Amino acid sequence: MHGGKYSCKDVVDLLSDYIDGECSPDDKAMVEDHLADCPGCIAFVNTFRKSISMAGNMSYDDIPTDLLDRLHNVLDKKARLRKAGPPTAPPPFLEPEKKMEGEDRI
Amino acid sequence: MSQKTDSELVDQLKRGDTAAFRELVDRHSAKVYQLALKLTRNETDAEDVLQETFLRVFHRIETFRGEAAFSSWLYRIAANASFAKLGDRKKHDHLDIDDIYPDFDSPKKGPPNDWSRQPDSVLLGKEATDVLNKAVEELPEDFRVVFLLRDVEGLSNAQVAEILDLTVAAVKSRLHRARLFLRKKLTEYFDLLEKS
Repeated sequence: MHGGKYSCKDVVDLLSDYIDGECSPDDKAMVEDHLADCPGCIAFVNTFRKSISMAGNMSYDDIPTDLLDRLHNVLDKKARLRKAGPPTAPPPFLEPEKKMEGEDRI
Repeated sequence: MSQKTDSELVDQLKRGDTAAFRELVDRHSAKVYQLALKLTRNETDAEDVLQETFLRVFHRIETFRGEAAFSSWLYRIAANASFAKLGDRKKHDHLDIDDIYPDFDSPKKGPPNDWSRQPDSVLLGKEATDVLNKAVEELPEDFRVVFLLRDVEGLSNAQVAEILDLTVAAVKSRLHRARLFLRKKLTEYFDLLEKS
């Protein structure tokens, strides 16, 4: 960021870091200095913050019971097949050798 | 559900304990399904992703080294499976600057609309929620997944970076753009509300 006062665009660019508490102390001070004299940016920051909080209230619905039952049925069948021993042919829908990108790296 | 941690259940599953697997499924299936649903926007595809995710967990549990949280690994599998389902339907990962930044050069007419002051009954009401949900669906998937994991699931930037195999800087950049886009869509709605 340049020396001197921050512009409205500078403040918008820094907003996520500012709201998430990840701004440097200098940037935080410059943002707050700007907000002291810019009603437009105060409204912008407030509505930006409120949008994030509304997102946090987006709750996930419970999984439909019949879907969970179907899932368990499929998984139980696979578990029984696995216990029964190696199949003579690979499962039709799952290719054992095909890995998803990066899934082994965790 | 038991008090066992995911790590304990994973260890049991590695020893062949299918009851432990069942509990992991019960514990995490709702979140996996909802993530898949919000990414694919299709119930059939989301159900397929749900099944594929847990089948992969079951068949590949030996490869999970436990260096990260089990849920991170799960989300990664689910996100990849969702993107695979989208295939050609996946939007280009790009949010136009004009779509997300305010016009700093135009003189404002009248006081700014600080709609954050609206009562909760309006902000959390069905209409505003529908506007937000619709706006989330408009996000390109690469931005939507970051937003969902970060602001809806509440994961940290570092966790999201690990799940999606991105740098933290990339996560922060996509998150910021997604937030600006959603704020803009909500502002358009509340501006109309104010005028009506």
